[in-house]
Amino acid sequence: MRALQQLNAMILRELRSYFLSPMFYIISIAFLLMNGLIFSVIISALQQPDAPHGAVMKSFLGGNEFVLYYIMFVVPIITMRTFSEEISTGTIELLTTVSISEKTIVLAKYISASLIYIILWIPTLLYPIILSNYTHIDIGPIVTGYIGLLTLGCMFTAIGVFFSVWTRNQVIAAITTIMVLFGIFGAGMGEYTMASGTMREVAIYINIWSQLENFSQGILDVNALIYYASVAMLFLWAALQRAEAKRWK
Amino acid sequence: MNNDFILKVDGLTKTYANFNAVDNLSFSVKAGDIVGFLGPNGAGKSTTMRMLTGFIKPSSGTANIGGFDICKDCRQVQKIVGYLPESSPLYLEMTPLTFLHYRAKLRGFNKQQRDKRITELFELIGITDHAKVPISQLSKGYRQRVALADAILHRPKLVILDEPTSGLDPAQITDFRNLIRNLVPETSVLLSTHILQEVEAICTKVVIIKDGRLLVSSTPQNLLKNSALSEPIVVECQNINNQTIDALKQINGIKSVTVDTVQEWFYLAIYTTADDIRTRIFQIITENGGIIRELHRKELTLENIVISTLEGGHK
Repeated sequence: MRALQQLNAMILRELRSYFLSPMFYIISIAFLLMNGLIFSVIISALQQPDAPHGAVMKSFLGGNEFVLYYIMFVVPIITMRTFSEEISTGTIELLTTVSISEKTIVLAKYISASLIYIILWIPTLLYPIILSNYTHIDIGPIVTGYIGLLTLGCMFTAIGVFFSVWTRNQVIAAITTIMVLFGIFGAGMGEYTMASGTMREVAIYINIWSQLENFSQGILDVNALIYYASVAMLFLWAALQRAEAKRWK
Repeated sequence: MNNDFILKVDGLTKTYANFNAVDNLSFSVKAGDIVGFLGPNGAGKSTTMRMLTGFIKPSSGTANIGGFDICKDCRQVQKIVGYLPESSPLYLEMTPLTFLHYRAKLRGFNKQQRDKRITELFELIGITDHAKVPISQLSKGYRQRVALADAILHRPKLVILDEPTSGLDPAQITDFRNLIRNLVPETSVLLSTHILQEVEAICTKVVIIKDGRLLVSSTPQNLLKNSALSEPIVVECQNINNQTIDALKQINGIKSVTVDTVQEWFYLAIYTTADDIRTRIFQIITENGGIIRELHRKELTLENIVISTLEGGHK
């Protein structure tokens, strides 16, 4: 009960703190500009009469790799402050000495960062609404497309939170996260570079690009969801271990 | 556990890679005490405080706060301990009001309890007018008050203040000391400081550490009384010679006489072990033809004692 109240209080504070920081608005603007640019490029590229219905949103949510590239930058920028900021300002001492468990702290940091990521996507819901005025919209693939992007982002967030526990330096936290995310992305590319073998099987399983593509086609890729959830839990568990171990330092 | 003690530190040790930041430290604090925790920079004061508040764990040894062991019942200890970390970190984007509400939620207060307690605290620390100003815009003095309010929010039995008055101006320091003084007897206080006057002003007990080890744990009065240092008698005089000095040295209880000259005046610093012998000194100097301009007993301050204790180091 108390843990729940603490979790709730922490998430509210985290969100408020994001909304009060200029960083949030800079990311939002950049995010929307990028999205708007890609969206308009896709529209002009697909402006042939024989273009299939709904193809715009399919391309937007998973058919282009740009979306993947910039969430690999955006998520680390959201997560870099989660722990690093509190460590560098010293507020971590206040936080950890009120009789609160590390579990609650890690979870609250993770949930609030994930919520911020999800909030960034909300304005893009306008795109299908605008499109629906001009063409028939297939809701199914849009829903699965968003599920894919949001769950993948939540996995990225867990990785970002993990690296933020390690350092008081937000830039280091962000850069290490970006490197690991690109590592995961790159490993998935093995699907196209390897001919066969176990490694290729693994690469197929972790290929986030093709997974996003599947989601945007209307496929609810359960394997991918399990993969995202497992990686997220692994990194959150590791973050928790690190947070608990820090008290022994 | 003796009920008289709110804090009993027992062989507390914190080892880093190649040195002991805190080394087998033991002392105790009685309920209602205001304890001054002294020591040079890097003596291990902050590390000790961090262990007591559960921010870090001891390498060995332990402490008992209000009947709870800091290693085994860390969360219980945190419920009855308030903490103001060094340089009083705060969430700068918050206002004192939102900050304290947040902290009270973390401490498990419900809405009604929060409103009541926070109003009370704002009056106590005199920050009502600034309740809705972002902390980033508050002066150091106000920030420190907010941090103190946070530390005593849940009416802790022991509040641990790490250099609470550093960076404050003299008026703020006086205010702050009054706030701290008013916390007892409900709350006992352990505060670290560099300012000896602070200890003399408010502390009922002094704990001095150096290199992580305990040097002294005593009351300021006992420290003054039992100090190996005595109060020198300082004489400013003229027309004295070796004979006078020798005569002075003959007095019972004289430990040493040092002589300094500034132009035609002699400055004698006479250390004694015995009772007050100022009249005897006066007599001898005048009998030997000396002229006395001033004779006074230099008061021994805690500062002299602490400095000499720290210089002396471990026995």
